[in-house]
Amino acid sequence: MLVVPSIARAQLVGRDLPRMGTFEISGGALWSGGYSFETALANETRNPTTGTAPLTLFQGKPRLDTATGAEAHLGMYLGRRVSIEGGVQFSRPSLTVRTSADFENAPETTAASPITQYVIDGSLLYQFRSGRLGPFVSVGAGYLRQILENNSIVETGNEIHGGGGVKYWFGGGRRFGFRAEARVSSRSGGVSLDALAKRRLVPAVSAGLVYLF
Amino acid sequence: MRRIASLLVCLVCVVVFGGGVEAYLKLGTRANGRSISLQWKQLPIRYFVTNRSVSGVTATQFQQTIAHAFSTWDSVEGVALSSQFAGFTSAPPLDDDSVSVIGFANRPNLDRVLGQTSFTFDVVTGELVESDIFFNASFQWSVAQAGETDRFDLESIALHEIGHLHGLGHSGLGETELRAGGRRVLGAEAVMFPIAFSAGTTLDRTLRADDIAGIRDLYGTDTSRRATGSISGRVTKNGVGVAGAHVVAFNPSNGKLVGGFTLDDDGSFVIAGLDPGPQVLRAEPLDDAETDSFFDATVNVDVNFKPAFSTRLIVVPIGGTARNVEIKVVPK
Repeated sequence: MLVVPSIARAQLVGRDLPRMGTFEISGGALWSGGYSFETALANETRNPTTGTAPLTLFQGKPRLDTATGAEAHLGMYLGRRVSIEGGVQFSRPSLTVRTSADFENAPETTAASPITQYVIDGSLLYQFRSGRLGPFVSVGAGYLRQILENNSIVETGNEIHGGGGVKYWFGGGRRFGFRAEARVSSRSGGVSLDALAKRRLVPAVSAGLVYLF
Repeated sequence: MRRIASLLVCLVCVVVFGGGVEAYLKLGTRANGRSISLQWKQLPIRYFVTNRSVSGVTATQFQQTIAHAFSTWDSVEGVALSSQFAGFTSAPPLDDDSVSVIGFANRPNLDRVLGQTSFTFDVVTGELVESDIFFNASFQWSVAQAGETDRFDLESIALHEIGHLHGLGHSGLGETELRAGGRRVLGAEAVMFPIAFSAGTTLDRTLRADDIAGIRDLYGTDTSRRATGSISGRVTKNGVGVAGAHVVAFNPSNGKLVGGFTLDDDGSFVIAGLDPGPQVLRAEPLDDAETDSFFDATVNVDVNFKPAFSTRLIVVPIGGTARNVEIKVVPK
């Protein structure tokens, strides 16, 4: 009695699993993490008779802030468990510089400027199981495009990412579902407020709806 | 119609004169109700050097040092400037004779003035036609490569004065302290700061970002203008413009500091020659030197406010201007 329903469910879900050539479209909300740049010192040359270290007029801590945005994906199944997809992310983080330690005691201030950020990427996904709740992992790479205030300057870069998530399918048809994902992106290029040419890690989480066709 | 602009003085140098000035400071005049920058139109700038020696500096060493200081300005990337040594002369500097002369002069009465620059210019076009520089022979001078204790480095001071000769005014990028007998510089980030480093140092043989932005503003090539940008805006206190505020643009990507000033009662400023990209803006009162080192009496300089930063991170466009920036300050 216990075995029979279990087999029946497996057959049902197995029947509805995506086959090679099935497309999947998804979209939803996105949260993208920020990162800090090296502290910048506004230094003046010290008069040698008054000391040796530079005279720091003030210091600034630059940062690309966290942001919310939106994302969309279009994927195609290469088999029952493997799919590829292309996606685009859009967000509007702020570029900020927190000034402090002013030589003449100017109050600490955060100067901010919004930027428009796009990531266009491609990913390879692997689905672990065929149930109503399907976990997956993904890896991929993308192109980063950041547009500064008033479209005055465009900075570009690239990224590689990895992560995972789950898809939860609604109802018996298994065509509509919910998708949640977390990923870490390693970015190179893009806007920089320091002289370091290093990759920066950016976490992101997203959640939205998914549809198979 | 030509006339000689008047001179002003500070420990290092001089300048600022009758008529309006534009942000930076550049030297300028007012003709038909508009401001005109003073600058040379005929290049190369031909100059004579006096054949006078002083203690520690022969006439030949003097000429070589002046030529090197000229070449430092001439070699700024993106600038169309050139100069030419025309020969030695026995004529004293500061004569109005349509010949630019640079040399030593005994001025013991100017006991805080290392050097001074004077100009003859066309009051309609702003074209410079003559500029003389004297270095005060009452001080001890040095041309030693590493400098000499208790002697002022001639090349450093010449670089400053030749900046004036090109049409640059004083920079406000420096911090000072009051001491008996005057102000002492704690730090500066512009050769064009009006007060010199102490005797014995050679640090001002190198142009800083502020000096380079200034000379590019005056003599920049079209290519360099297209590659840089500017910021315009106002400094306000209780909604009213602040005149004579020193505004500094800081590039957090490379640490460059470039300064400018508000020059009218509206509190308006323009800072040109900036690297494209994000810049932090800071406004401060002009309290690190005498205000007449920077402005003439027509500017109603307000020093009664506290330093403050803009809450907007300004993105300087490539070849364009970031406009409508407002820095709000409060009274002291």
